[in-house]
Amino acid sequence: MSASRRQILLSGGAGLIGVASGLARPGLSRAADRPILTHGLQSGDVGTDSAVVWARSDRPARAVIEWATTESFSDIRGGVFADALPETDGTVKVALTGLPAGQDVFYRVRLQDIAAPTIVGQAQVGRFRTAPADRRSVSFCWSGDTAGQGWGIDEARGGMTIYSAILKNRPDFFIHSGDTIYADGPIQSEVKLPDGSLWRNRVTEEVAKPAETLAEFRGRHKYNLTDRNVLAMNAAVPILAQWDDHEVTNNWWPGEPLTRAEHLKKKYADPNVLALQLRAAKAFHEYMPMRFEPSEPGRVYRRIGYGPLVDVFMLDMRSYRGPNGENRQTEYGPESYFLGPQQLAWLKRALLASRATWKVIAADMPLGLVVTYDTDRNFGSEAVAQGDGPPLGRELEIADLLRFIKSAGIRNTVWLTADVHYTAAHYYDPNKAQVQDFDPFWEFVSGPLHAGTFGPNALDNTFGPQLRFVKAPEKGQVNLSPAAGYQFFGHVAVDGATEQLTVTLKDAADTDLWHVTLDPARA
Amino acid sequence: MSIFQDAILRFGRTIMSYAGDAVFLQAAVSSAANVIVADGDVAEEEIESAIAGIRANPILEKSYDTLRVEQELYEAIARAKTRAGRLENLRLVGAIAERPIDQRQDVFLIGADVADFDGISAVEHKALDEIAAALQVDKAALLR
Repeated sequence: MSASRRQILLSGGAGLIGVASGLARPGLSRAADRPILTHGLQSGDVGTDSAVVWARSDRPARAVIEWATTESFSDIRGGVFADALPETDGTVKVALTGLPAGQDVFYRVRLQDIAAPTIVGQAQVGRFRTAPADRRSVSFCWSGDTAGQGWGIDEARGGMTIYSAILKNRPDFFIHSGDTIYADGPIQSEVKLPDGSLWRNRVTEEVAKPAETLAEFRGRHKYNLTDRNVLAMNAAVPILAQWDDHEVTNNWWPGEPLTRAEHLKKKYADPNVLALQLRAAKAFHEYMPMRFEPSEPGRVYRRIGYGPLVDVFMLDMRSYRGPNGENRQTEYGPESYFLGPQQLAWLKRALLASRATWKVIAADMPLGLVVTYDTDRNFGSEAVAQGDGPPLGRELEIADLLRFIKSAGIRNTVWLTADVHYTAAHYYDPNKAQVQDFDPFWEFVSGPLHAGTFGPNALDNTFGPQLRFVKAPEKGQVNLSPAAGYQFFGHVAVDGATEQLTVTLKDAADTDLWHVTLDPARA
Repeated sequence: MSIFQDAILRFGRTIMSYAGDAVFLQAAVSSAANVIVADGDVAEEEIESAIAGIRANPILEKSYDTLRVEQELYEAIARAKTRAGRLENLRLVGAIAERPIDQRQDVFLIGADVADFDGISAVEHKALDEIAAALQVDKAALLR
């Protein structure tokens, strides 16, 4: 080898392109032969000095990823190779490290065909901003639920337009609160709307039926990455992704037999959710720009430190839960696990060690809303709450966490979530709760991004939630299409000077529906 | 080598029968917690040092899995955030004051290891003084 990998990388794109273009400047165009970045670029899990970037190739290829602090790439600061191979469906993820804090970073991805190394594809460029090391203002958005209830990409209606509204806010990052796909929801080519007009979905083979194979789970992620609004946001805004149920199937719990009525309707071949879960998790991790956790491959829960003002604690309320049942245990144990003991211990430790002013707990499900597990039988709990009264079942775990937060003097926790397909603001007040051993806190609910709108759900008084705002369909209206205008996201701004945190609940038109500004509690 | 591990070798002791001894576990995590919180900050490295120190005790290591140790440690740290909680932790440390000297030394040295992570500061010395007094051990000798 005449030049080391490092030399090639440090020589920058110009050197690499020079080699490639020198060899690949034939009289006839080779454009059709060049490897293609098929689904845009993504970045995620961005911190003060690192971020993950993502790309996908249409064929086995070596991805050359360079980064710079100027859009012209006149100052290439580093880069890395990664191989896009069929084992990962052509996806690559790499962590860019040693990045400067509080800086716009541009990254450029090119593909080199492994079968014909002289052929290099067209580059694509993405950007993100690293977390600041100082107390400068930061902002971010959150929401969940993409392409659910059969509402897919209708080009004539602009596609998933809410992603453009989020991009318009220029957030530092976007928290996808789960249901990043609806693996179990078939997307049909046409759906008749109440006004008689047609919703015309773009349809691919993989989204036409509930996903069971790895190819079908991957196909769901790929489908969303064909929407132009999604692609534009992904190229400019890093994502912090978590999962909920629909990455696998509706309301699943680990080990669940696939015998509910809705499973039978979906005609699953597997007898148990485990096989679906494994395939779904592989696809999820391939397609989400998340960090890899070597101590537990496939872990979703993690802390993302975004400078001195904000720590984000991404939770996984799905993978470690006990069975969805009546949720009325009086003692904590495997049947009432929700986060599970390991994740709970991790969260307590991470909260103890957090020095950020605001501790944002990104939950994939709300704490105080009753969500029914099996709607065909009107049975069981899908989330934490099961009804008014003292803590029972999964509430025991949450009660313990809230007690710990208070006793450890952990201040300024804010919970963000989605899942229930409407937007709301809840203030949990110990004075109005069945248990008082916790400090008051806010929970903000948003979503769906692009799915049917439902709700509102019943509030459970165990932790004293007070409804401060809600926007949901009128009574009797369910599964409103995205055309109805009830698609929501939330915006959070933390002021660097005052450290105040302002939450604004918004809709797909970027309308401010409601907002509140919170003062940080001081030690 | 940590102070605690070094002590085991120096004293050539056989760790005796406190398997499954919750009082001993509480004393160990409380000792570590008061030192961790002494400077007002909870550092990841200090937590790791505490867990490693507790896990280095062969009886505690056999009696309690890491998760249980972590759970108890985090509760002790939470308590240590207030003066009343630190006093409670000292009471839990002092609960083994009548026990054999090797047990008391072990609990002190778990705290000392945490303090020693980045040099023992004045506030950490003060916390160790309180722990040594509760345990009735010779701090200076143990830190030598």
